[in-house]
Amino acid sequence: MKRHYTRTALLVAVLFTVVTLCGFAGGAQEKVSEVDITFWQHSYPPLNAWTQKHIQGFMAANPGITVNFELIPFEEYIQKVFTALATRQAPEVFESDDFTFAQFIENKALHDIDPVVFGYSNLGDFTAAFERNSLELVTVEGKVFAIPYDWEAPVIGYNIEIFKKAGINPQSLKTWKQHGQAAQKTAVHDSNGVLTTAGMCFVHNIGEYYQHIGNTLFRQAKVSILNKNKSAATLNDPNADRVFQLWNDMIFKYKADDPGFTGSFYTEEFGQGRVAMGWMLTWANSILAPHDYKKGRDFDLIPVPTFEGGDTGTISSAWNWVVNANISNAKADASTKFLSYKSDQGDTFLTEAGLVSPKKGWREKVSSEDLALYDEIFNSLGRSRPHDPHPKYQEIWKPIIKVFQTCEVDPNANVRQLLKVGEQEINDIVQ
Amino acid sequence: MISTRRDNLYGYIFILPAVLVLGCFFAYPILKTLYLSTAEWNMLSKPKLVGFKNYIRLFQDGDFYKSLWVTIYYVFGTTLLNIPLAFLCAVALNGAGRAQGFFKGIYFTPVVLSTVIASVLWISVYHPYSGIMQLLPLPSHLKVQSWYQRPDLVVPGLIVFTLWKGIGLYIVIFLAALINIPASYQEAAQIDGASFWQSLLKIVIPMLKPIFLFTVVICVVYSFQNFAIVYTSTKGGPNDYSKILPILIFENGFKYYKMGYASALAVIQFLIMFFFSYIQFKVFKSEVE
Repeated sequence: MKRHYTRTALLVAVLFTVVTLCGFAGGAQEKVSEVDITFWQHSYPPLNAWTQKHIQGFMAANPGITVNFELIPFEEYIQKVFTALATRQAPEVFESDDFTFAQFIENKALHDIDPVVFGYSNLGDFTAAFERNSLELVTVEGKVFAIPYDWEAPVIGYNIEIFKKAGINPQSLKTWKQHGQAAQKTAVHDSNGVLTTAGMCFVHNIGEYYQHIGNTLFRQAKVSILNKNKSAATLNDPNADRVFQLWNDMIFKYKADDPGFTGSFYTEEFGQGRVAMGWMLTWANSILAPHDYKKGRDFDLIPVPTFEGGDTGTISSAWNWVVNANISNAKADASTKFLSYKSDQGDTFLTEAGLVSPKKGWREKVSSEDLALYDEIFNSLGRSRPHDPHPKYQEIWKPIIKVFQTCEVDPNANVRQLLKVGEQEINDIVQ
Repeated sequence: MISTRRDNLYGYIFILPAVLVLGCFFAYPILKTLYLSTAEWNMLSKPKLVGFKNYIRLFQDGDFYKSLWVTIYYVFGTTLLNIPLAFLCAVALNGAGRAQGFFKGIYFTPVVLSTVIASVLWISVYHPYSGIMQLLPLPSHLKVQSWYQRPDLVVPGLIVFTLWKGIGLYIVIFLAALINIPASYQEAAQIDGASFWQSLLKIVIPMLKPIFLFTVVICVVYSFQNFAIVYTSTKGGPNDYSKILPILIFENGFKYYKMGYASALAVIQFLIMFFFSYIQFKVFKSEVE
């Protein structure tokens, strides 16, 4: 009886352990092919549909390669990538935004792109195949570590009807002062003082957008966050005041913007006709399409204004396809071929995903009507350059975002004092 | 002797799976967090031991103190409103007769509702353009902007939402305790001429002190760790005015990739919660005894 009891107990314990270990072993394997690669993409429906279609096309053209496609929610994408890299479970191909790219490079997390596997005989021909500046951020010590695919530069989108009613010619808005006055005129408040139509929507409460917008505003104000050696902060510059004062004025002086106007992004409100102007990127057309908002009929795009005496250039950004450094050569080559295939689909990237590829050679395949939807975007890209990368980029921006957010809530924000404190915090990070 | 050893062996064999699970999912993460709190780790390279540098930095970090103050404000506000209100609702429900089941369902529904859905709901409640709050008879300065956008109202706004979300649980706990109070005690008090409030204060509340201890402790612990409600509602904004400690830990770990510093913050949060729980047990213990 006791032996039977012992055997039973041992059997239960062993069975439990085996079942638990099986759980850790993961699910059934996908079909085995010559090379299997996994690609992680952040969620953005027009892009995801385009990608799904071209993965099928790539696999048909390359029967020895299987691409497993996984979608990750946008908000948690980079976190998931970092966690996966930390546990050595990252996929062969994934995406990096511009802001975290330098961190991947510093920690040798990325495989360089072989120009020959990509389809060019040498690095010179490879880089010449891309638009000016677009590979600047991703080229390190003569090697290219990513393929930028969603190349963006800012524009201002405006509601045609609102501007017509206000009698304002949007093309006349060249400076931020003129812009603020127009925003003040087009903003509408109800009897309680609640902003019901925003005169100008900057993007609040989304960390990356303070960086997107701030980078261009700093360029316009002729301000750098760090010195040339990146060893000290240079933010405590009187020219920087006007960047944050603009932010503060749009809310409290012009009463044309409000961080609480929308829960996250303002496209819903723009599609309802409740936004006169807003900061937009390349996705302007595709993000407004679900609201049946058409460029030229309901909204249009104008260049981003600048400060008086300021720079008229903008700062571009991109999402980049990257290859994991910790994979076999066979998988690295397969991944590079996959990126090469996708980067050759720039025409459908524009017409189906509504995004601009920096790789040349696709504009000739797109109709002039479709290209016209992106005129202002191309102009902005032509005046743009990438931001200055840093491995501690997110940390460096923390005090800067704090200054922006203080200016959002405090009508009497002392920008000078805030910048002094912010500069010291940045110095603590970089020194 | 041999039979005792064998009995012990059976015992160890049976608890082995549970110990393995506890070890994997509790002990290992705790020990790893303690280790990482003494290291610098950006998740892309190996952790580098730095001793107590993270702790020294933490105690010099203004963001930590601001977050700690916000957390204490949120925890105390939630607890001081939740427990008395839940108790009073339970007392009222106790006399509701057949309607008790219906009202219990009403109060408990928010508890089981997904936190994300509830957060989206309350973001729209506070929305100045289309929120239900606009229908309330409040002064206009309280309706012109979402409470979640105002530094002075963001934490009260979160407390109201947390109250709505969690009060049902405490009502059910108090109700179960009230039902177990022998009716003879209150009948005896009535015979002696005690009023309803006297009966409540002198008989019911003293008898429920263990329940009060339990609910206060779990409310404090739950509020201290309430990442989901606050993050999905405000992400710690505006301008860090609702950044409770769990959000500060999350940001340092997964936004700035400073896992070592985030681990040190987590250790300090644990010690603070342990301290508060210890104080509560000490204060209530003598009363309960």
